[in-house]
Amino acid sequence: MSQNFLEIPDEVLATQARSEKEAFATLIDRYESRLLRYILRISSLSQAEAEDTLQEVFVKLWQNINEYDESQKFSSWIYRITHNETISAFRKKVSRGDDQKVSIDDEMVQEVSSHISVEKEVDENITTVQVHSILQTLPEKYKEVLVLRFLEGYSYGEMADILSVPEGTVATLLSRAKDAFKKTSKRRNLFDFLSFSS
Amino acid sequence: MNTLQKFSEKVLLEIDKRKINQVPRWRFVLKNLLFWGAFLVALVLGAFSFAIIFFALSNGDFDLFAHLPPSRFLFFLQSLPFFWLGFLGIFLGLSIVFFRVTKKGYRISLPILFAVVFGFSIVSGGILYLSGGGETLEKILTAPFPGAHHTQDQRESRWMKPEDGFLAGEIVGRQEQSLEIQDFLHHTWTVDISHAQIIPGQETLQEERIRMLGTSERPGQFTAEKILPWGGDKKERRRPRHERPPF
Repeated sequence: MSQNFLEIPDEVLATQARSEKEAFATLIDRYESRLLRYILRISSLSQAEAEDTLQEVFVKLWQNINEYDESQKFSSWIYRITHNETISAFRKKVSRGDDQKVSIDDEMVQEVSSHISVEKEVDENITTVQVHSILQTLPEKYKEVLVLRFLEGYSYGEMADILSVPEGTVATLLSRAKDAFKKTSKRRNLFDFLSFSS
Repeated sequence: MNTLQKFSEKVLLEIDKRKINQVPRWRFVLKNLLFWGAFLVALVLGAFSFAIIFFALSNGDFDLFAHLPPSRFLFFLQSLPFFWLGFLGIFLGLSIVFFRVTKKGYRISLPILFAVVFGFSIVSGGILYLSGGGETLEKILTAPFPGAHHTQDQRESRWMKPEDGFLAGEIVGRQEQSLEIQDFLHHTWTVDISHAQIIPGQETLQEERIRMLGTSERPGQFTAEKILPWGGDKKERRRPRHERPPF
């Protein structure tokens, strides 16, 4: 369906998608799996809910494609739409009183813990299970920046565009997210030690 | 791959089913222009507020600070342009809000944005005030509100309280130990200046209009303790009496 568009950069495709549905379909194909994973990582939505949210993201993208500014990176723009749509879906879910726990996969645990150097600064014996449970407890805003930085590999500038905040705020959030992770790790370690001693 | 294709097809079908159309580009451009326009209007009104605040403060009688006891602190509070300070706060706030909702407004941090907006307003407000625009702007901006009090009217009303020791007016006659004064309601007062301290010096009595601190034992008689020039905006002309609100 979209073979003619395979070599075309996202930014050009986004411009073509204004008039060609095939170009738009190629954009969907390119981003579907990445965005679905992102939605699942930053929210507590189920697979089915995440797919519904993703569908809404692409519907919004189609509706607002003329707002896209070619000077901006397309991936930052589509991540911003996804971010906003996910937060909105997540809040609706929370207001309904559904489960608020975020699904955290093994890749996320591995990437985040290696970038924060938990082993060096906290305890060499910290386990993957512990890292997993620490990430579960972090506030939404901290988890978002950890995911964007260490898993999606975005720069501070791109993260600023996605989250619609100044770059300085991104740096502050990331630093606080790391601190929160380390503090929780230390507390957990101390708790385990006390439990063991008693 | 097959699944991915299915998803894109599903999305396109959904778009067709819900008859979703693309929002035209001009609407986004117009929206952004409207936010920029609103930001500029709020910024300019903030600058106007500063010009009027400077004008009000220059007519605030703060030179009396050293001559009034702490119990008269209320006198200085009455001199503060609360309305215009509120006006300034609202428009500085609005200009920040409007800027933040422009396309790339989120990129500038709040403290920097506040500093830029505040700095621009204070500098342009200062220039407007120095070029004599403060009073004119006050008249223009209060024109839609017939009951609004102007800085000059409020100042005159503060000096129309001889029972509290405040009197001001124009010198219409001079003797060695007394002055004849016509207050802002055209009442004539005989002022005993035999024990008055003239601030900042003798030249004050050359002024046409003066302020006096003192006591009034009976109507038409005032004993001055301190005499100061009226000061304020020298270019200011008093409005005809029928145009002024009653004290």
